[in-house]
Amino acid sequence: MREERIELALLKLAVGDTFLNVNEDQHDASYSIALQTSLHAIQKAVGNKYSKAEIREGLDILAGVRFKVEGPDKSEDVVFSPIDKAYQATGDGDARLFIRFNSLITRGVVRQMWRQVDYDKLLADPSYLSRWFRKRFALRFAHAEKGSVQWRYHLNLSTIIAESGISDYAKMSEAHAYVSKVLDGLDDILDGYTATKKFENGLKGGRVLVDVTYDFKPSYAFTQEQKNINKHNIRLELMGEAKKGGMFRG
Amino acid sequence: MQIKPVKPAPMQLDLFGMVSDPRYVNLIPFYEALPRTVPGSGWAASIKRNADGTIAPKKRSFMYDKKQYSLMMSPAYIEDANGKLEAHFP
Repeated sequence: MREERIELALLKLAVGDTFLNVNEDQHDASYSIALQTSLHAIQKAVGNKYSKAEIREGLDILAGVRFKVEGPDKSEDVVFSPIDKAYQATGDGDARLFIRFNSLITRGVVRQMWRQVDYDKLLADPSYLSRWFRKRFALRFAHAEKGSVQWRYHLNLSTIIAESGISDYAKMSEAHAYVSKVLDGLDDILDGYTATKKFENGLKGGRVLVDVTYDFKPSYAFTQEQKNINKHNIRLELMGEAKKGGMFRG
Repeated sequence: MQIKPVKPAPMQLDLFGMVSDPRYVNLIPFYEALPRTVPGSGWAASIKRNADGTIAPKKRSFMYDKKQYSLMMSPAYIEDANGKLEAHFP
């Protein structure tokens, strides 16, 4: 959870203080987006939840773990660490940090594919799965039909387990109970949801829950917030169009 | 470090910095789709080993834009206070 929060804080800090390095060939992979910050700034951005030593360790994990993402037909892949990091103690208990974001984040910025999410609510939410849903719903809204009043979204329990990473439950019924409890707490986002259960015959004759399909209905407040974000995105697109022909569009 | 701010600032970074409310953060949808967190079990006790004793990477699959992708995560190694290396996932 710590690394998830630190990574989020780095993106929050990046809103105001990023650099971009550009190579001549202007291929996406040759860009790098970097952030110059401090341990103290990150500590503050994560709500003082961790000591500076804990944040340094979290950054080491983010810089040390390796991801390999493979495409649908295995014909392409990308291998990277979430961040590259340079650390320099400043002698006052703090440290200067140079963070370079990974190629997927860089590519998203270069191609102007990002979406606003409420950082304060994410930071205040103590549940990992609840935060996962908050991000998921906000990002999903980008795919909603423009102008659509009725935004509906469904997810299967098996997908939630696989893609959120929660795996502590031996039975689907236990996972369903946990997920339902988390969803019940998201009443600022959801105006309700239905859960359709799928059963199969068990080996001992009884019926066994094998999956659940959740159909979500967003709250009015969440819908309005997302529509405002969509309007903001359209404004940005128009600003981008006005500058068409610039460094990245030639 | 040779990376320096580009002058003038590229348009994308200008736009990236323009949030409609200071409480917002900008997230990249494809990166956020990666199931890259190991909740509640990032420490050594939960880590599985290969037959040869090395730390097993975690493999997951995920959907984005109706396409199936796979993610393999290899752990970071962090030295504890006693100088012992431990494997960690985020």
